[in-house]
Amino acid sequence: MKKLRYYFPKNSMKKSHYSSKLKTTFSWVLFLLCLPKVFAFEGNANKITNSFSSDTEFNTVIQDNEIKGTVIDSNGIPLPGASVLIKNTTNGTTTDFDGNYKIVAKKADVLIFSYIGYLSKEVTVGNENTINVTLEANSQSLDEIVIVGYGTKRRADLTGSVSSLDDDVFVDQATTSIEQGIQGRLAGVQVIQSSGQPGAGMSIKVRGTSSFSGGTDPLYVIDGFPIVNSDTNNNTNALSTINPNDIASIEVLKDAAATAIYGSRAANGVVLITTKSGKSGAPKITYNTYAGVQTLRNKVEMMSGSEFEQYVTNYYNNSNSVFTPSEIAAVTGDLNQFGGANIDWHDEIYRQAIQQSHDLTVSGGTEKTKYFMSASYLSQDGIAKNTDFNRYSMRMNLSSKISDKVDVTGRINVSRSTQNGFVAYDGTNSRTGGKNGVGSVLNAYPNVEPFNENGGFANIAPFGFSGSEIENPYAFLDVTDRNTTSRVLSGIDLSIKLMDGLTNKTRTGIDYINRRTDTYFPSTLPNLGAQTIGLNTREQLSVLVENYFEFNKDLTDNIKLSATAGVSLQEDKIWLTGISAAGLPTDDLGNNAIQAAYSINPPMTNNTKSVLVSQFLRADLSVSGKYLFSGSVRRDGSSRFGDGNKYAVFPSVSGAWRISNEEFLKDVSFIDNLKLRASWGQSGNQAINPYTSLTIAGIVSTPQGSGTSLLPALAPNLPSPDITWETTTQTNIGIDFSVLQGKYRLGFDYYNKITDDLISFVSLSPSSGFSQLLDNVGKIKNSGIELVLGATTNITSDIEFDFDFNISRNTNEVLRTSDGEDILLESKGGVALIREGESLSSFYLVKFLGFDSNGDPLYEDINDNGVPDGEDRQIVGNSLPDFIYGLNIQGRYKQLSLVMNWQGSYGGSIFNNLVASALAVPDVESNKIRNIYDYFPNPSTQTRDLMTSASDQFLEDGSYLRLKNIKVNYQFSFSEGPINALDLYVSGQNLLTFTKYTGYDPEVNTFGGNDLRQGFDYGAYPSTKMVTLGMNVTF
Amino acid sequence: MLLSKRKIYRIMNKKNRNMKSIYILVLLLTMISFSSCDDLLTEDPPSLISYENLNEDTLEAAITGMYEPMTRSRGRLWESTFTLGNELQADYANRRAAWLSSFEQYQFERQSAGATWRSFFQCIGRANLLINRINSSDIGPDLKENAIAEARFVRGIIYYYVVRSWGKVPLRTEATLSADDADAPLAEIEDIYKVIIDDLKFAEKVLSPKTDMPGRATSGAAKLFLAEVYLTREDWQNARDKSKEVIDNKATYGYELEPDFNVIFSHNLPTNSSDVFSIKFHEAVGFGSFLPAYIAPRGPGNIAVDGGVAARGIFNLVARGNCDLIANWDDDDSRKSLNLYTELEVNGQMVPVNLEGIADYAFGKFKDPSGIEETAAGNDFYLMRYADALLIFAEADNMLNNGPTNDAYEAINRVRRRGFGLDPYTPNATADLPLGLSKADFDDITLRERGYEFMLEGKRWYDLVRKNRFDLIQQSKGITPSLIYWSLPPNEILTNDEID
Repeated sequence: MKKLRYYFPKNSMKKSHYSSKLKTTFSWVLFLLCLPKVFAFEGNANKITNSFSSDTEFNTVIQDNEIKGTVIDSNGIPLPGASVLIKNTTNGTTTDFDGNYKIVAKKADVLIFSYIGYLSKEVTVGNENTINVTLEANSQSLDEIVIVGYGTKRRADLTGSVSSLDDDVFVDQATTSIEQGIQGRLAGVQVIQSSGQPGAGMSIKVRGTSSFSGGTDPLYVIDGFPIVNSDTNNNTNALSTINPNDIASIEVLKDAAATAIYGSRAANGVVLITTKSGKSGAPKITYNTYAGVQTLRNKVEMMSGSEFEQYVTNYYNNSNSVFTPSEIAAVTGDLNQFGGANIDWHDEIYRQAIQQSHDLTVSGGTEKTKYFMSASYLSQDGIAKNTDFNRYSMRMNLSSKISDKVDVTGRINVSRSTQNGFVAYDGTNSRTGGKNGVGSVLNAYPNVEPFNENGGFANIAPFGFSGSEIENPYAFLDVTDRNTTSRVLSGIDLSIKLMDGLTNKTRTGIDYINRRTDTYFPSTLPNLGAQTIGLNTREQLSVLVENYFEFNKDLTDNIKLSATAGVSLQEDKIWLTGISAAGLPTDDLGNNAIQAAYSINPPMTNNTKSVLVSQFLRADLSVSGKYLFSGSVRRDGSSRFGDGNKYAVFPSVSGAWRISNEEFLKDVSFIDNLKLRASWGQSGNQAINPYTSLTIAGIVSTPQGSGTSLLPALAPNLPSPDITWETTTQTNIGIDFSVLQGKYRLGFDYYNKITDDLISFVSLSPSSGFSQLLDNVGKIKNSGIELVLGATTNITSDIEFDFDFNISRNTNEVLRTSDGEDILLESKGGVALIREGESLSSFYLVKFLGFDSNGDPLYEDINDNGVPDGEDRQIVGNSLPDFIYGLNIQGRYKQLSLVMNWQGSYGGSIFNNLVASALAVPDVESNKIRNIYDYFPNPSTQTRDLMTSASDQFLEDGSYLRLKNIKVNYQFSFSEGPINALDLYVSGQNLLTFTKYTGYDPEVNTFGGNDLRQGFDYGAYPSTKMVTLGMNVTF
Repeated sequence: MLLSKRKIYRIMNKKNRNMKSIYILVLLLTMISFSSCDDLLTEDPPSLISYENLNEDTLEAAITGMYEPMTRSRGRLWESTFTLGNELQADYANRRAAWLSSFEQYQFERQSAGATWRSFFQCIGRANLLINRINSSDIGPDLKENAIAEARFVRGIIYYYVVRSWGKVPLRTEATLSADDADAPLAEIEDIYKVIIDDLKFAEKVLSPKTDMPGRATSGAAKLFLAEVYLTREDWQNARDKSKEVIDNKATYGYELEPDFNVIFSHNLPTNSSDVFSIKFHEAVGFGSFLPAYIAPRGPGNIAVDGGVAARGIFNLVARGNCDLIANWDDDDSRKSLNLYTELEVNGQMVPVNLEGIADYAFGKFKDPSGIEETAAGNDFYLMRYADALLIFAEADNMLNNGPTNDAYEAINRVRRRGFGLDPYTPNATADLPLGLSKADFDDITLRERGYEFMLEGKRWYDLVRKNRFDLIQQSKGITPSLIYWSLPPNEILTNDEID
């Protein structure tokens, strides 16, 4: 704040206080640091030498001029109401609706342009009478308004840990979803794009994983509406229906002081998303568009046709104790039959794919009514042929001041998106028996042509030695695997000012999502066989009604009190419908006429409902602007728990000391802000399915009792009547420090999160008739540090740089499991383990020791029985990174700007199951990776019989550093004509990645973010790189 | 918090000044009412059925639920891993897929058949739970007793399979109601058989002789299982008596030697007179048997072989031509061509099937030309057929009387005559066994006859174990099994604290 005083004329009288030597020194240092500001003198470079000479030079009176110009933001949007002041005077004005101003000033006067939420700028008046100024948004501004749960706060008044992003992140980067914009931007927020499938979901973890089964997704709140985003295993996510260009700001609430107001859903953090609204002023029309070309980021190195033939020959010769000479000779004959072909299946299946986006918005308004409307279209082809994602979205946000006391805001967002997928491995796809398109590209023999002479799919497993697990990748491209999502997200907020300082707010909203999943396996597929049809729909409706009071009162001159108290009711209903059938007269029907199928299974419907009833209260107290206290409490009642466990209370307390406002620092003018924060509080996780506490039975079908038709059969559950909420208790200590008007910034947080009563499926002995039971069994600790560093430097008025660096480390320790027992998370090939005292999701594998003299694998044989088996497994690593980091650089030279977003992860392993399960197995049932001899120097039947795929031989370092985004933008400004601003840019995504990982991408996570099996690669849709050309126009 | 009417009236009268207060008051009242809306939080699942209180409406589905895990296609039960494994352990089958080698090579310390274990114990668990819930319900005494008998039948027969494949296992006769009930120690094999026999005796006594719901338990089925249990226990007297009761009362139970094997192994008939107890499969994806696909040879690109014996050929189970049983199979026995084939009729012509150089014959007992998918074959899987009664009787009677009686001859000959395509009740010189066989020879021939009659029905391994005839395996495969029981699934050992 000292800094602001120095700059703002109304405080400038205080400059006379700078009397002591020390203070003079400070101001001198300050002056030096501010030199670049002095240079901010448009169009008159030769004045620079003069400005060095002395302070008095500034006061040289020449004559009064009328200076005029326009104040715009970095997107070329005029800023109405920006203040323009002559330094060291009280003379000033503000800009009009179009951002124009006029002011009478003398040559060499310094004009200070400022606007809330933007970095102020000083310009010295020169010979030109027109001074146009571009103000840069200051995300770290102390006056910045931060959205918090049920209200807003000035950043300066925050006592909790809240990270913010403004819409710049979506301007800087050609994102298709909100999460992409967050990645690498915020300390303590890990975003993993685990699939390159267009429209696929991403996982977000705020401060680690603090639940066994409740998921790791934070709570998303869009314009005050907490949305359900639990359907993550469907490879698409609810956030992908939202157009990122509609987003005005994103706040991530991290510590309990910030999250506790969301109570039972906030243990994984809260992401508040605020959409854009109109500003009073002339209508503003923007059109943003880009088109890009995506390509496969890297290939997994596979054998060529001749290499594979050589390998097969080697394999049979090495296995001569098993195969007879005639069998070995037959193989050679087999191979010769198809000799010569050399198919690179990556080139066959993957392509250059176009992505384009169009986004048109109109916004504006009067003092009373403001509007924002947008229409957008995104079309993203996938790099695998026949895959794509497209989205249509429309939004209207309207707010109106009905009277002095009543405001109403309505928002409606309608969208429809369609995703055509590439039959990805999802761990459960029983129809394909775990086979998937991505895997088929790697498994297919390189020495067999894809098509036969009739143009049909060739049998690509023609050899006597062919395995049954191999299929023509082109066949997978023909599979219909489509998700279509329609969504209406709408709400009306009513605000009534009851008296001075007391406002009542009512919020109503609905979120309706209909997701339809179509699958069809045509008869032309060589291996996948019959025509099977699947149609699943998921309809979900969430209805929200909230009412709360906001109270503000200055108790004394120095003591300010504000409070929020209210109630909330949210009801979620889900209707699932599923139909599956097989056999059609013709493939042309696809899934368009299921009634034509020869065999139709019983249709399935499953409906559920859950209700959350809540009361909440928060009070904030500010004493002299130096001591800030805040306390909140939320009581949630959830239908999902059994009688006696339906209610829970989540309190929090926090405080902050703004040391920079203390007397003893008052005169240290370069410090804007030095604040210590501390908080304690609790939040919860109610992520269990409805009806878990009841003794109930699902209804399944069986032919037993009929023989020729299906009968209903009850499948009873094992209920968890006493299950209760997971409670996360979090302590946070933080420092915010910034100097020189936010030019250099530092933020540091330490947190310690302990989550108790963790809900987990406890494995029961299968002979009990039930394999698992949900129970509150665990306790886990996450602690970590987060560091944010930022710098904004103006080297000259034409050259500016902005650096933001964040790094965070989270460590995780399982404090308790059920009876101290290990929890095994088995999956084909790899195994993850939860064990007390260890980090979550440790890899539990057999230790590989090397090769013996025959080239056969050696393993640590703990039970000494001569074979690598389950009892030889031990903890051999972990998927959690040691730290994650991001570096975001913005530079500007005149109208040319550069943005770079680096993002990385260090430490943590990946279990490369693609390699473990087929590509490095010493057999001939599929193509092999080129370096299989590194894994098995002597591939043969004997080696295969001795090997286990569940060994740490397939564990790889998952560290990476990635240039997520680079963008070069040129801004044209126009003083006349219909166009206000025009930006042209070229950008690249994922152009550089530094990693040792040999799979497609180190950002891999086959089971999704919510699964405890992290760091497993079963063959995700490969990641892409993209080069984009784009244009933003403002009218 | 309620205000009296007068008080509200008074407040209303204070007009504008107080309108605001009223508004606030109303809002506050709303908030307070919110906090006590317990009704909102009461759950009433629309798509689920309460298992807390079973009633006569829900009983039938609850009973069907006990059988359901047996019929799960890819549930790794009778029609898939369990039978594949058992047959590979016997003498006449060979495997193609590597994952089956642990069965074929008797690496039982590495083979636990965990998915089968889970499905089996789910049946047992549901049976125990049903007994528990029904005892506390208001269902009438007859229905109650019948349901309990059916549950005990299911528990009894499943344990009979479990004890023969794993040996000592946890013995569960009480419902698992919470995690506290989940652990149980291994029981002695004797104790497990005691429960099996008690359960089947109860079922035999209570259940009706016939059912109009194919695939449900009957007293006849219980009796015949009991006979086989006694046979396994070498309790010849009881085995003989129980099987004789079935044979003597075949009309009561509706049993007969169905003359046409195409009827017995049909892919689309609900049941037939041979059916004593079978696992039912239906031609719908996911509800069919996997077995036809497992034994069908692979056509081009693994699609169904021409002529259509299954939706897809996986060819995991093939016949060993060198096996004594197959090598010495009378060509006049129609069961030979039913079970083994090397060529198929395609468009009126016989064409050789692709045996991939690894087999002498493909197995043919289970074929579903109209099954649309590999999990959609309708062929039922028999656990007990009427032929079992005759062969159990023949074997037990011979052992009991130290040589074959006329009744024993007649019993086995009926099965043989039907096998030769003849009338079972008319003596025939080709089909009938020569008179004057010794006890040992007759026993040998009975074992052989069981092999022909029940090939691919999952009985051969148990027969070879119970008769201690690993010499036949040695003859065919050149290996002698060193173990009889599969190891317990690792998950069971890990999670069950009562097991070391």
